Amino acid sequence: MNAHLRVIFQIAWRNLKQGGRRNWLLGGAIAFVTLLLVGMTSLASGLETTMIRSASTLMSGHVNVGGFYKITRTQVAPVITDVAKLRARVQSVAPDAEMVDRMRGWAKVVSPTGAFHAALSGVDIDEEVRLRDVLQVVDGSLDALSARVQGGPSNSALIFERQAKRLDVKVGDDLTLSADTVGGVRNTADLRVGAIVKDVGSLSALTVFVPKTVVRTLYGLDPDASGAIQIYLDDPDRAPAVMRTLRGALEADGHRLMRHQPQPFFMKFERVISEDWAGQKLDLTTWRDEISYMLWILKGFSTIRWLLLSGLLVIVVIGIMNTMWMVIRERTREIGTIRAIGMSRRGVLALFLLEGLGLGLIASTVGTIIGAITIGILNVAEIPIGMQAFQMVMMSDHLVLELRVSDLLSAIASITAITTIAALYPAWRAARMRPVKALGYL
Amino acid sequence: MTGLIWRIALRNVLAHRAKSIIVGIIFALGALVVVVGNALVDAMDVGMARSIQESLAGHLQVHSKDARDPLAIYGDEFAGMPDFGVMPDFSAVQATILAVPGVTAVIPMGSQIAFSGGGNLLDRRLAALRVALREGDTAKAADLRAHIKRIVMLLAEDIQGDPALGDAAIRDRIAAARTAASPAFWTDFDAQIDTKLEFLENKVAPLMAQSGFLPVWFLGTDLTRFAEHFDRFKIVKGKAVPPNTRGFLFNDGVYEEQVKHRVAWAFDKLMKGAKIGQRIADDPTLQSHVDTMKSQAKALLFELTPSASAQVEEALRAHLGASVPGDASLDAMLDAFLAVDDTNLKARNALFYTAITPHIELYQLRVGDTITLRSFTRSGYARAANLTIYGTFAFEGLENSTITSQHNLVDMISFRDLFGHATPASKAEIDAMRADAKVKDVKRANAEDALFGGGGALVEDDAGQASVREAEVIDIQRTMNTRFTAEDVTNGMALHAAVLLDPGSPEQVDTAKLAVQKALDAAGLKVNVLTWQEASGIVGQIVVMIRLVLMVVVSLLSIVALVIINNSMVMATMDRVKEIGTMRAIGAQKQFINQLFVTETLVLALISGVIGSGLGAALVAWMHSAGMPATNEFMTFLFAGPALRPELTWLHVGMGVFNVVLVGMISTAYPAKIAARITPVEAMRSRA
Repeated sequence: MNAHLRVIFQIAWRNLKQGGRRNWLLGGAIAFVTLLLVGMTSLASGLETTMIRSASTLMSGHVNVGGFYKITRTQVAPVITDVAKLRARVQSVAPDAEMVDRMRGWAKVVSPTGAFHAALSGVDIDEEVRLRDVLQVVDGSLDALSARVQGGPSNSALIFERQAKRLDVKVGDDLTLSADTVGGVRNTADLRVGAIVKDVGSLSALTVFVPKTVVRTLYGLDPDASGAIQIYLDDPDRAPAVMRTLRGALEADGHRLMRHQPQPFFMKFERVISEDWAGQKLDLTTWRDEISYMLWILKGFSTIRWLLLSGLLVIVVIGIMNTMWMVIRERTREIGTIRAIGMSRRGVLALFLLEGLGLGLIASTVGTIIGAITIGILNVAEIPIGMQAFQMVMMSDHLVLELRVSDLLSAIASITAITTIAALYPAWRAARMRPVKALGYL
Repeated sequence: MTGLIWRIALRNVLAHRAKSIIVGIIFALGALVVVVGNALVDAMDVGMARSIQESLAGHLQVHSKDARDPLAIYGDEFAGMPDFGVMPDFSAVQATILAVPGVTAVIPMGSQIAFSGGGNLLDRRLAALRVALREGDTAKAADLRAHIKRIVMLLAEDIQGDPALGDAAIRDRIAAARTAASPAFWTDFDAQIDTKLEFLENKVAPLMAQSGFLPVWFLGTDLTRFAEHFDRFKIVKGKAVPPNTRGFLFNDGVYEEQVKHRVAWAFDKLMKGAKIGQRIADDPTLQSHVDTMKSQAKALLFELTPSASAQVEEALRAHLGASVPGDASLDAMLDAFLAVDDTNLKARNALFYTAITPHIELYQLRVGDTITLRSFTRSGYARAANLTIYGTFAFEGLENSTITSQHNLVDMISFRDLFGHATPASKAEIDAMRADAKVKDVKRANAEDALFGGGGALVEDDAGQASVREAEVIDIQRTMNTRFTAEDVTNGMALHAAVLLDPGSPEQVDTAKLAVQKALDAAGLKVNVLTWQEASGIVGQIVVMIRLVLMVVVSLLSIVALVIINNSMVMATMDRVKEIGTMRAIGAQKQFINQLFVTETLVLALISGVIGSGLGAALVAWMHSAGMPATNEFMTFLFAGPALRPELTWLHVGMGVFNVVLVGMISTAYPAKIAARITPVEAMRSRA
């Protein structure tokens, strides 16, 4: 049997080599489809990575312990109290996680020539190691926000390049923030632009970083109040598990928790306002929850990818079946001969399947390699994305593609499997041929 | 000669049946994809354009050349307050554009975000009590008094201990709520009713206000002409604002989504889900709506007057029957009632609307109410206007599209008041007043700091509110007049304007753009013209993006199809080496063989192309009559309505056949060349 198999392999290999132009063309089409698959997968992976990066820099940790404080049933603030104690407790549950806490707010940002609304993120810049790492300062210094460096409360804001352009401000210029407190009072704060940093995706338009003290005074909050504890993990995929563990631990401590809703905190206001409770409740989310309103992009993208690839695969499958059918017609006499000298039907079936498999394997491997090289080049070139809508969807101002070995391998495996399956029917037809009839065929 | 080639070609196509069928199927499939694909892409393209054009943008948009930000009528990546410039004299712009042939209307526009404070439940109950007292309706007054007392009690119950946040004002109000909840407060209530009511209104009611205000994104326009020229515009509730009158129209989408009572809102969502076959038991979104409902029992209790409570209690007891204990409180029964599941949803929805809604405020703001819009001018000055809510509107077919359901409408005159733009003549005067006001503001801030200390750069508290009120008083006094003339609308500023053209093709939009721009330039007006697509900001770009993606998809499919067809043709040629050799041997020239192959493909491509296009046309016709339903709000926008009905045109059918013939010609060129190269000797020697 082993010798048998070797013979089949040899014949299949010989046939593939002799197929010539036909195999080149078909192989080329398969390689092209594989290349597209690899390209689109890397785009999707890149998109996801950019999303995690944007989200976890601008608005969320991998896991967040946030919450709402309600003075009365209708007056809500995105605030958690007793933060120091809560942080210690969270650290004890997730000892090796990094964490920071940030304050949350929503304010109008005004310069002499421009204005917009933005989410305020109150940070202690000294503990924001990750943020300092990710943000690329264009002008000014992040230290402008540091109470330690400034030797006292800082009144500086950190804004993104596109915000600076919109407001028409430079480092050192004045900004005014105005915000409504829980009680409906409008407060304002005068700040200075301390640092301008490079954009991190188009979400950068919506976030302004300021020292915690600014948010605290703007809203009249206690010193031990904050917005959310943001927890960073080595592996973001562990976020849901860590969140569950934390929920258990905090609930056991007697904290009141909100039911888990995969929504960002700012979309929960309306719901929380109408709910029947007052006081503090904690709300635990993952990064994915906090950007859930952006996930339609991933969904839309994968729908397009699915439609395109299945269309292409239908065409390729038709092409393969077509080619195999012709091959079988061409080689009917040969099939008759090998059947006559003793090869079984299963052998013939295996022979033709192997041809399909070989073609698929070689073509998809070539396609994958070309794809990987192209992606590498595109990534190094940092192709800029001109259109705002694309920037918004891609969450980046240049093309980000990500190569994952597992994606490459699965591209090869799936394309090879499909070509082999496409060869199944013609191969079965070949195997069914009677030797006598096949030999008599001219 | 030509006739011979056609005859042989036709014979060959029929003789090589297997090959013809395979290649023919591929051709036919290709034609079908082209016809259906183009019909769908076109329908979506037209759909998106209509969604935008017929809801807000018109065909062209014009705005001042002095704008700092590109015009984006649906907003851009920033939240609010872009600078689209100001066209100070709309009448001149309108006159100039209307003189351009093909223009049917120019409609002034301007959008802005305002915040609506509105009153709260306690406020409204207190106001109703004052009315009842004035009218001497003692029974109603007693009912309201009892209701107010219960609201205050429940409110005080909510406030647990010392709140962990909040400024002096909040702490003051909390203390007031506790006073109002003490029995002593109510013993002499009737004797000192004025003082008591004032105390409740000023000190306690603010605690009932919802934190934050309802943000109201509104578009100021000439309401009469807007309704006239945007065909999809329709009034859903109430009525249109009468001509030349100040007024406010809610977008029905916003009204249902944000203004409706939360329980009613949740019931609506659940019923909508049930209608399309979703089940609460397995849909997390619906479950979260049930959660919202369950959390509302106390809130409902809050809203019911004692007499209404009795009626609701009776209705619920009858409905719930034995499922609750006979002595269950209203509180407990509401809890049970709101725990809706798939089996009882319909009955409870019906009961809610018949037995409970008459006693609660189904909408926070009702048609006929007055809405107070507070906005801030670009430089931060407060403006306010009180407007009557005449009704709600929607764009026909686009009710479920959030993209086109963001704006509410106000009249142009109120918009100008809220935007705070003055005529050039009074600008200097206003500037002087502003400078004055700024000085006052700073003084007030300092006073605040002196009083409470430590505010630093923050201007706190009532200082801000006082200035809001002051501005409000000035504005409202100046604008008390709710009527104006048609000239008032034209003779004033507008931020941008929609230009509507005679119905026509998209090419006309581009020519009209040039013509309008030329006319404006000639008139010396510094106004910029944009197409609807350029003016719709990120939404317009998404349209371009979708079109681009569709084109890429179609062209990738074509490329791969081409390769496959070419492959089939090459193999088919190889199959026929012997036959070609024979023909060459009996005297056929290379050119003849070449022509024969091309003709064969042409025959095959024509036949299968016509069959494929026919099938595609049938499919499109079926899709047109059946309509492809839009399953989400984005698809509603894309389809310009609840279903996509692609139109079948001869162009699409022709394109189907043409594309297949073209692909066939391209892919046959190479095999035909190979065939022509075959020599008779070579052919005779070959194995088959």
